[in-house]
Amino acid sequence: MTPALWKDLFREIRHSFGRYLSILLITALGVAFFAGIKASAPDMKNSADSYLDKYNVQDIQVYSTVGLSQKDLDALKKVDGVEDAQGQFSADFLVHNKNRELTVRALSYTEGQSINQPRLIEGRFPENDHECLAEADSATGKIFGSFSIGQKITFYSGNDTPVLDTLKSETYTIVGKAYDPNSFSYVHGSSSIGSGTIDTFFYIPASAVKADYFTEVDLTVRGAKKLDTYSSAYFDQTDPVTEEVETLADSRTAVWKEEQLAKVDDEQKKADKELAEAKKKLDDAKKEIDESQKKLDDARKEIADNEALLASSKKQLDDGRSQLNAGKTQLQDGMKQLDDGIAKIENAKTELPALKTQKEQLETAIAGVKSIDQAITGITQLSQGIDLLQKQIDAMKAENPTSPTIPVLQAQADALDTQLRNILASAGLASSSPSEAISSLNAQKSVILAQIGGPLDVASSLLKQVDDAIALIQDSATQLDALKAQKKELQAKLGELEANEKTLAENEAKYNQGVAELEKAKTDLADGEKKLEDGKAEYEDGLAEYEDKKKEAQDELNDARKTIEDTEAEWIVLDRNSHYSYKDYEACADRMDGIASVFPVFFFLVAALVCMTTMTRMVDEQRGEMGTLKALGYSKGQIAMKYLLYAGSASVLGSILGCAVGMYVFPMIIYSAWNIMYNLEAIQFRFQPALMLFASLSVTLVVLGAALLSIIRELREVPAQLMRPKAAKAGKRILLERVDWFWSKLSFMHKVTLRNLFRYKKRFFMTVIGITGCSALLVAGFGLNDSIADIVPRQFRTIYHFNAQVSAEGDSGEELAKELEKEDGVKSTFNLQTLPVTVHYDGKDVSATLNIIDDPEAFKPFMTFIPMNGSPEPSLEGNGALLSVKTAEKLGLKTGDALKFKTADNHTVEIPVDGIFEQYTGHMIYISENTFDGLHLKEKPESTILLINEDTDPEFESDLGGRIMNRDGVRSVMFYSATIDNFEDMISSIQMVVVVLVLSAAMLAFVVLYNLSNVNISERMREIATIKVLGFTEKEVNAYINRESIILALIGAALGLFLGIYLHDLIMNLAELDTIRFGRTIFWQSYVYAMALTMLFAFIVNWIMKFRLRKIEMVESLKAVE
Amino acid sequence: MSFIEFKNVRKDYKMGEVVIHALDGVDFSIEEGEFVIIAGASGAGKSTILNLLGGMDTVSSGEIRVGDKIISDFSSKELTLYRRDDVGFVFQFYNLIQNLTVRENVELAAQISKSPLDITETLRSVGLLDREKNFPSQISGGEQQRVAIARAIAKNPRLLLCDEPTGALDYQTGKQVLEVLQDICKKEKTTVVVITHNLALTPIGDKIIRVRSGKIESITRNEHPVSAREIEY
Repeated sequence: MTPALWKDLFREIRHSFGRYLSILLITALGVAFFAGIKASAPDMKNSADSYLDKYNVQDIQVYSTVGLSQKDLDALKKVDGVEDAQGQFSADFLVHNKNRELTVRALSYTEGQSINQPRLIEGRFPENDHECLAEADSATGKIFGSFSIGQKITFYSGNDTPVLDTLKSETYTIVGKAYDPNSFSYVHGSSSIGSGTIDTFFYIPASAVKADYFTEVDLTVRGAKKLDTYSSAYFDQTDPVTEEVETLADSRTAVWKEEQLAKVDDEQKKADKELAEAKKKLDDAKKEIDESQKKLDDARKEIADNEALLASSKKQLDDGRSQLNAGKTQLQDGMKQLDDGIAKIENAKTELPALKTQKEQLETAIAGVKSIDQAITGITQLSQGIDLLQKQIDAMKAENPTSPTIPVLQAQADALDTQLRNILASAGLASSSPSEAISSLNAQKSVILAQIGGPLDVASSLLKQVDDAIALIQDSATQLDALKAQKKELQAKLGELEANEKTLAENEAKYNQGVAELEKAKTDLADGEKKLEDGKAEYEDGLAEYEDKKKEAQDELNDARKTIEDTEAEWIVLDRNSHYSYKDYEACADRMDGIASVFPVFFFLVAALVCMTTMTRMVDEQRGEMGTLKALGYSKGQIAMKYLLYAGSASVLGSILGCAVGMYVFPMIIYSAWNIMYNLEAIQFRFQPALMLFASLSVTLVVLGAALLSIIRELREVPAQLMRPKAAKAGKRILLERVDWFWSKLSFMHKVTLRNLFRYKKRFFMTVIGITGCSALLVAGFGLNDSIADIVPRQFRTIYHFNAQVSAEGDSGEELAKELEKEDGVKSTFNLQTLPVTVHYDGKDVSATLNIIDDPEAFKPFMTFIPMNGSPEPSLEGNGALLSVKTAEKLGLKTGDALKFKTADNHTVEIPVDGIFEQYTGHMIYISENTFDGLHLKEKPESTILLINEDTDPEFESDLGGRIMNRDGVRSVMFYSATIDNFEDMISSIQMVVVVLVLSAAMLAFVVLYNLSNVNISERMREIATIKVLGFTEKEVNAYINRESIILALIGAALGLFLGIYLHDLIMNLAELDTIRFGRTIFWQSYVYAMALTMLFAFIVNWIMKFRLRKIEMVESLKAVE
Repeated sequence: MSFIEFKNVRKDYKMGEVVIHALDGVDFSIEEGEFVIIAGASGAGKSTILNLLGGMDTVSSGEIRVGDKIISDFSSKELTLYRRDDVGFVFQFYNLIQNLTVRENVELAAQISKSPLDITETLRSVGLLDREKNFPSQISGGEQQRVAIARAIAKNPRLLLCDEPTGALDYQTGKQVLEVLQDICKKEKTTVVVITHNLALTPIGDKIIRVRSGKIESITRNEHPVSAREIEY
């Protein structure tokens, strides 16, 4: 290189700065892409390494199946190579947040702990045992709803162990938010409770932990921190320590077993002593009971004796009483008789005068009656005699009234009459007629008779009686004294009797007293007996209890011994190769690295092609100069050097620019995009000179190669040839012209366009490749958006048809489902049984859910199984399982293969795959209830009730949610509308990637199109000038030139649509998470957008080119061909 | 009134600080149907005249009238239409579109013109009907120039401007081309302006305008122009 050539080179650069710049920029772009993307993975790893170092994350974790003690910790600290060791307690609980039940892990931390320092993001550290730290915002937090500072949370147990067994308090106030540096991935691991997956974690002060053991001990290895954790040097440092710890584990677990057994022995002794004491007490009681028994028996006998005695006394008394009574009656009878007799006599005595009077009266009466009777008879007789005489008189009178008999008779009659008159007079009835007298006499007679009380004979008998009575009375008077004497005697006897009675009464009283005493003795006895019975029963109970207790205690101790014997006291020593976040992030970085080897090739290719075209054009333009130089005697090398330097310096400068920008921008974007899923801190760039050198060198070499290639041909020619204008590239018929019907329809303008397209093949391919890349990037970008945005409608509308799910407590699911169906606003419910299980792939255990369907027919309205990967129509009729597509892909399973999964208690199950279905969230296995029963698993599935509601309005849902939560047996309610919203929020951040892709696409399109159009125009300057001279308007000229680039853009864009599908798939595979399957859907709109945007870029470039075209002077057409 | 009139036309180019007077007050006129030769040495300003007359450049001052159009006042759009409708160009290096066949090259011009001539006829008139399907690279220079002439006249222009039409051709071919131009002038009554540095061509023109240093040196009327076939150069 002579100074003149240098000068020429610099002038050249200055004059064709646009061209120089285009080489520089395309190189920069290529290097930026290649180096930038390639640098991302190391930068990601470096950032993770710095992060782990900054928070002093452990190198080795030690878990034990039996917990770790302070002694274990001390022993671990002494292990060779261990820098520090720290114990941590963690336990899984359940927590309610809004209507959702979350499975959370409570982690203990000590203020100022050296290992795994919590990374506080906001708020402050807890100051007492009732405060805690919640997890700072994360991807999962966004989905499930995060906690806020000031919120109170209450842990509740997910198994049989109450929270208060391990923690001092159940309720904590969140005072800050932090990240666990140990878990910077979005997955927190699995749990044996709740949903089976840890949703989030809480830091609680170590002082709030009740448990006296650690669940894990974290170790840091001396000298490991300064090594890159993703390097093998790191593992060379930690592996010996890991082995050392594993050795320690054996001895420590043996010690643990001994300690445990010793503890049991102590307990045995204690139990034995307690039992002996109890036994003694029981024996005492037994003795007492026996004594009481004896006493009672004696008492019973005495009572029996007394009873007999009393019975005989009773008889004597009764006999005495009856004798006494008989005597008394006798005496009383006698006395009465006597008294009666005496009374009678006395009575009779008193009656005597009356009797005498009566006698007189009677006698008088009788005499009266008799006299009356006489009178009557006399009267009657007289009257009758009179009458008779009268009659005789009358009769004589009548016959001889002067008969002398008449006066005799009359005298008789008169005599009679006088008699009568006498009688009458004597009777006092002088004045009365005889009949009247008779009646009056009769009347007198009846009065007397009435006085007597009967006829006369009665009176006579009465009289006789009276006489008798009088006689009797006079007789009895003589008896009276005898009677009185008798009475005296009787009275004496009566006195005797009364004395006897008194004695008897006394005896009776005594007897009664005896009876009462006996009764009391009996009651006492009964009481005593009852007491004894109670005592006996108590004793029996006590004895039984004693026996039970004894057996129980013995069993317990035996069990404890057996458990200890059986327990595989084992330490699980994990280095970072088993650290989920570490491995997960490494895998992610590696995938990024993988894509870095595919992606930038594109840009390299484009860069090479652009440089080649540009340089070819440049060389073409400078043929004359080259010829001149050659003619002047410059060597080929010297001439070539100018162009190589031109291109080389542009590409070196471009490489520097590309490295500077690309090594910063791309890792930054990629890192930030990934950090949506991970919780690392700001990116830590790693200086990667080798990569930069490699990228710059390869690009520069490509550019130099392209330049050399275009020069070499020219340099072979002789100077004279070079100085002559290069023969214009000949026009050619193209294949298309053979298709006459088509060709003839084209205007020649179009014909020339088509011919031009095929004339400049290099340009054709370059444009097509560039534009293809642009449109592919756009398709991938928009497709990414579609696929992610598509997850929600596919999963929650096309596949799931339910709006909410309710977790039921225990086995109340069936009933609850029925009840919830009656709830207002709920259309139908389904009781789904789920069991958390794990599947194993990519060297890690991943949570999956086993869903058990009792009635596949009833399940249909709740979920649609859409067959995937050539699976037959998924059906639960068979004995196999249906598997979600992502799980199947990850496990590499097809229909008919055997699926293996592990239950929470580490039982491995194998089951054939009956079908594979579309599913976007989680790893899902569906089996029928029959199949599940056939597996004979010990674990009980939990109930999840799926609800189809009438509405998805937030107000409606919060109302319904409240009502459901108020029911018994409901653990949590989750509405999918909220999940959908959260999910959409999260994925909107992924859309940044779309922006990056669209920008890259635009850049690619601009660089390629601008460059090519530029070359195109400068190559065809003359042609353009000519048609301008021919009178083509500006518009026509633009159309003439741009039509070509538009057609090329169209071809490239169309091809890009196909390439985009592949690129999209590649990116989706890269970006996909463990638990979420991204769709592979690209909506037709995205193709339209990609196409439209590509064309827009093309039009923009064309629009810019308009100004260049306008600048072309028509005078150009007059110039000689160079 | 003449068909074309240049009135005190000036054209200045600025080359950095220096101003070059390409045309320094040029006056001349051309009648309709005339075959005019504008001759001059390199840099004399003849090309500038052609540029201005062809509507490819604008004047610094002065007036150019073609027919009833004052083209020196035209906007670039009006100039385009002027070129399209009124002017036919024949370039020294033919400037054919390489990717179009002979016929298509002619069509290229005809298609944008208001009243184009029949293309077959035009091609026959330049004697190239049998090559109409050839590409420019497949025919000789003279043939290419004849195609260029065909392309120029197919527009049926009132003015045919030729810039060194024989410049890239050998003697014999050059004469043939000139013949064609002369024929067109005579048969179609098209005004033909030929620009050349070759003074040997002057006998065939009706009017010869000599240019020197941006000025008209002389304007000569040739009452008896000779046929192109007869000249020697």
